[in-house]
Amino acid sequence: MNRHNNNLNSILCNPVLQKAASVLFVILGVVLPMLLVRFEVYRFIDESYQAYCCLEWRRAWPAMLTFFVGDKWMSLFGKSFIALRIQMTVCYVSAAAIGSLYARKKGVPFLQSAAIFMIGAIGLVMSCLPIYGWDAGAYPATALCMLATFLYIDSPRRSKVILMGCCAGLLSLFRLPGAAVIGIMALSVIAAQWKNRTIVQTVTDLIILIGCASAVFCLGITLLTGSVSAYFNAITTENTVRKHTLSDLPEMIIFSKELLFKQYRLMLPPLVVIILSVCFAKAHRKNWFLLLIAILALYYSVRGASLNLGDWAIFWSHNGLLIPCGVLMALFIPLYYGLKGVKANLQNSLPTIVLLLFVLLPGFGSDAVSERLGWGLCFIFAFGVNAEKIKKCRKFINYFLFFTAVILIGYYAIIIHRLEAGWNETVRTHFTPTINGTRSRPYSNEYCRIDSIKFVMDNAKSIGLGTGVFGNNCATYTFILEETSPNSTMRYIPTREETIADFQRLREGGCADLIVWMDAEKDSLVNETIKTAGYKRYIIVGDNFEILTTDSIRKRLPDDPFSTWGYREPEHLPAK
Amino acid sequence: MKFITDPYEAFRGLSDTPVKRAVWSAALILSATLLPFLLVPFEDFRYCDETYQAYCCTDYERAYLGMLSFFIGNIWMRLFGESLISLRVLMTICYIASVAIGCIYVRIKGFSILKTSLVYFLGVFGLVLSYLPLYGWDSGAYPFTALGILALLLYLDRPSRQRAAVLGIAAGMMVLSRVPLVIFLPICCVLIFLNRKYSFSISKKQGQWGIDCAIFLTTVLLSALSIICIMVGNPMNYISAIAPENTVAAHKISDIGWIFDRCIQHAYKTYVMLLPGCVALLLSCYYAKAKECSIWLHLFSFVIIYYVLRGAVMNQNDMAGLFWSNSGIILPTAFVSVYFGLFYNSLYNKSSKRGNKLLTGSSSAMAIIFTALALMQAFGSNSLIERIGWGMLMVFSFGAYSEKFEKAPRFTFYFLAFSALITFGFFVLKVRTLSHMYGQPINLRYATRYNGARPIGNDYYIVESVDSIKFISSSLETKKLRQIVVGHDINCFNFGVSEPGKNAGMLFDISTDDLYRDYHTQNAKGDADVVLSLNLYQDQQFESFLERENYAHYFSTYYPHISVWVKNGIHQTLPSNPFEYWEYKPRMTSVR
Repeated sequence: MNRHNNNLNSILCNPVLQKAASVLFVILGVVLPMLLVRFEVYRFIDESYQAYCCLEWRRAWPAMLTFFVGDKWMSLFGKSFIALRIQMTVCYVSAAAIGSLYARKKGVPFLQSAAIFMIGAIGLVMSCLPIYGWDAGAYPATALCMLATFLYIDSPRRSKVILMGCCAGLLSLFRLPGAAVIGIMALSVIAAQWKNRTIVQTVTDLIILIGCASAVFCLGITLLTGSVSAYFNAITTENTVRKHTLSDLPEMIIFSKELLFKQYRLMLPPLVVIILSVCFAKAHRKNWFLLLIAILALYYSVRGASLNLGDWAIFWSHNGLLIPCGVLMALFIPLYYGLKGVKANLQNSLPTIVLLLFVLLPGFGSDAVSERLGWGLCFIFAFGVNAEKIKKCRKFINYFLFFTAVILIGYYAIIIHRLEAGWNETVRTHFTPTINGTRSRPYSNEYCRIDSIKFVMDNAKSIGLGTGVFGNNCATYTFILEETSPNSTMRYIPTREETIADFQRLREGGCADLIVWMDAEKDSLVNETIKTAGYKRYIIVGDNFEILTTDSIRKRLPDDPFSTWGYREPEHLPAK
Repeated sequence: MKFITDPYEAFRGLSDTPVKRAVWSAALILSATLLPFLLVPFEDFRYCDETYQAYCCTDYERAYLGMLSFFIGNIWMRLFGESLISLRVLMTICYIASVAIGCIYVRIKGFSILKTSLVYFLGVFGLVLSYLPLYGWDSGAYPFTALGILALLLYLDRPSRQRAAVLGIAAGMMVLSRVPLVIFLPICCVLIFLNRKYSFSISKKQGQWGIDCAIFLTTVLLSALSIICIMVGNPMNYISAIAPENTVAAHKISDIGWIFDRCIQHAYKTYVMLLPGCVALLLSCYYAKAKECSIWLHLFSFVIIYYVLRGAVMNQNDMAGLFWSNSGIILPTAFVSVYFGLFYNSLYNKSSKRGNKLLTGSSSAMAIIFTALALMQAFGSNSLIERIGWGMLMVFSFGAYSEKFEKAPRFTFYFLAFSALITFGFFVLKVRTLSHMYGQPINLRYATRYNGARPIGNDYYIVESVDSIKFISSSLETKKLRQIVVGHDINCFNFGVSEPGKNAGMLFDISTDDLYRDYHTQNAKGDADVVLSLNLYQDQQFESFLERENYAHYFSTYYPHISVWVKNGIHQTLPSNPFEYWEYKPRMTSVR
């Protein structure tokens, strides 16, 4: 290892310190993301929707394997959001591990690879969607696809085409829109040996690629559902999420634009990191001035990033934090060539193009494209992809990794501190096994509403009444209510006609003594249908959660179910 | 013909003859001089700070804290109309003038005319966007501060008695334009001492620095006295104006805790504005080192610049961000410029040994001097972070480090070009956003209209309230009733309601106790027929007090709480609905 005349690099030259630091980085890369697992009972409808899909994985065709794994995980570790969040963290950490293993394979020193793993794991957990579902569940498979593709680009061989195909099939099982990866792989197959192969060889490889992907996918769905046709039977409107179709494109673009500019507020720390890395790599001697500037700039930017966020961001993803670093690493080769005056061509640009296409892959099929873009994975893999060039800029890369780790851990510490303040007590791991527990820490009033609805419904069941749920985000709430009514659909947001049909289905199913109208939008036609059927409001919780019943049933129910049946608010409510 | 993708080469090609350079420079100077006037806000009322400063202009004889600034504001209003808009035009001129003065120094230090024009372009837009957008003791003092800094730097370059005298004249004007700038005097004395005592190439005759200091201080005194005489006749008038009722509140040592909190708040509010500057810096570094500038690189840069500028506009903390100063936009550029000497030494392995002159030859010394001069501009303010003069010092720093900048010509070009691009880009987006908010494009013809008709947001209701009170007040005046005005932020409303200012006080923010003092001062005989009460905190006890004093409530506005109280006997003679009776026409209809 080259010796550099500065403190950081001289520390890195000591073999004992190197090993100790590497082990420490790996441990931190596993432990710190786990400590970020949120303990509140309820977070957001998206999370409970995905949890419900796990329970009903046979019908959740867009990501059947993800939900199957989620269901098995819950069988092992308890049916709770917290268990799923741990699984989510495992997914992100393992994706980071795959990326850093690739870097190690490409000759990146062990210490740097360990640092990449730690930064990648913390970065992914903070910057990606903090729920288990078809996004988080597919991350390891996406990382495997990236690994297979870059291994192929490094040394194109037929065995690696087969590996790529298998990974593509696997990713499609984890997240169907991930099948688009076949396009990226096909591009790699075509471009990797453009000049050295005949068309027949290329076409043969492409056929093998698609064949392997299809075979793995079919095998997977057969193992999961018993037959391919059973999988295709699950593909119905009922089981398909709304707001993700082509017709929703204008709305999705607006949403993505909004999210894109929301990430802006998190981008100062990584920009500061890049500026400081350039300065420190260029500086020729120890310099207190630069050191002082670095400390002030890092402190200010990280504090500023956290202070300038809306509250939601603390509980949601912080994906702006890795974007500038991801962009820099993705474009490392063209930027390097620009500095050296080398002209770009297809051959030397292919890894960059593939890397950028992989950035787009997690966003494909999502309704919040800009939030899902895989800059985090791109950042991790870029070290392996650009390994040769990185060796020539080792000093810059060392500082870059060091400062990135500083901002990520600094920001991480602020989030942990804020979450503790939000929960009003210290985060402790012994809360983890508390399943659906009222002793866990609920956040926001949402929990109280669902808890009180559940209380009324449970008591109604105990006196022999049939209960059911319909309305917006029906599936979401059925997970929490442990409801098994006929309306267990996976549409997420039904249309007016579907809402009415759901209501009728409840009546026909004989579980319509007491009906919860979830997240009721005051649609006049739905209202009219309910009224015509003889249903009236029994109680309303919050602004839009109504429990309906008929006059005959109403007589059997107390006027104030909460005081009559002795409702007690859940403990450990958040500080108001 | 080969298409040149390297902007630096293109720039050199476009400015390879004196004529081309002159044309480009003229275009830059002209656009930087004219375009900032597009940002002059045309709404009636913005914020009580502005009306307070405007009121100080009308009563400049008592506004001892920045008398020269207010004196100039007063003359300006006599010439161009007593309006907030005309004062805002003056404010823009002040910022432009101070940048122009800075550029004189840059030119003297040997920067090329084209690069100096670029500095001027960057400086003007930077200052106009990032500094307080109202005329007062801050913006009014800017040209004098720039003059003072110019004189100081010229003195440090080549100390002489003549230069010390010029420095003294400039410092005298500075102090009168904003009294807290008196801190410039000890700074100058220390620098005169250090420069004379430790410089290599200049005379170190015993007592030389003392003579220079004496000349400096004498000329400060003389220039200050002369200007005071021009403004208020004789120095005693100025001294008599120094009274508690003419001193702004919330600016004292005892307010330091509150001021400190505000500083932290402001420091983090500027956060979202810093990204464009950081991106400009990174792009300059890259372009300066790049051997191959492809079209893709330009496209990439364009996308990033567009994103950060749009992001900066969209992520403003609140509406105030766009209507107030955007002090972060110039900060990264200013910071790098002001400390360029230290950065240069660090990155190019140069020691910071002094050259032939102690202070101007040493990067460390210049960094300290510039820091002191930047902080000096905030001294005395209750919003320190917002007032630190990074922008102005940025302009001077291009002169101070001209040799170093010239040694890195590619970086200097790209640094200036990208910084100017993002500053100008933000200016365009801000003008565009404001024009949308006003409901119609900004048009220069509105500049000539007094109290133009487009107020913004809730402030409109303030205008409406002041308007309605003013209407009642002027209607009551026609009935020959004696009126007094009492209350909080009185000066702000005095300007708005054209109150002649009988309630002598420039306190800006007073406690509710002062309502009683105002009342007793003006109504000792109890002969006031009408009391206009700016009882903004709705102090119930004061209202009961007025009732006991035999006044009856006649009318009040909701936001802010302004009320009209009339003597009991007179009350019955007034119409029950004054607006209908005297035919009030609210401006609301003409606005929305």
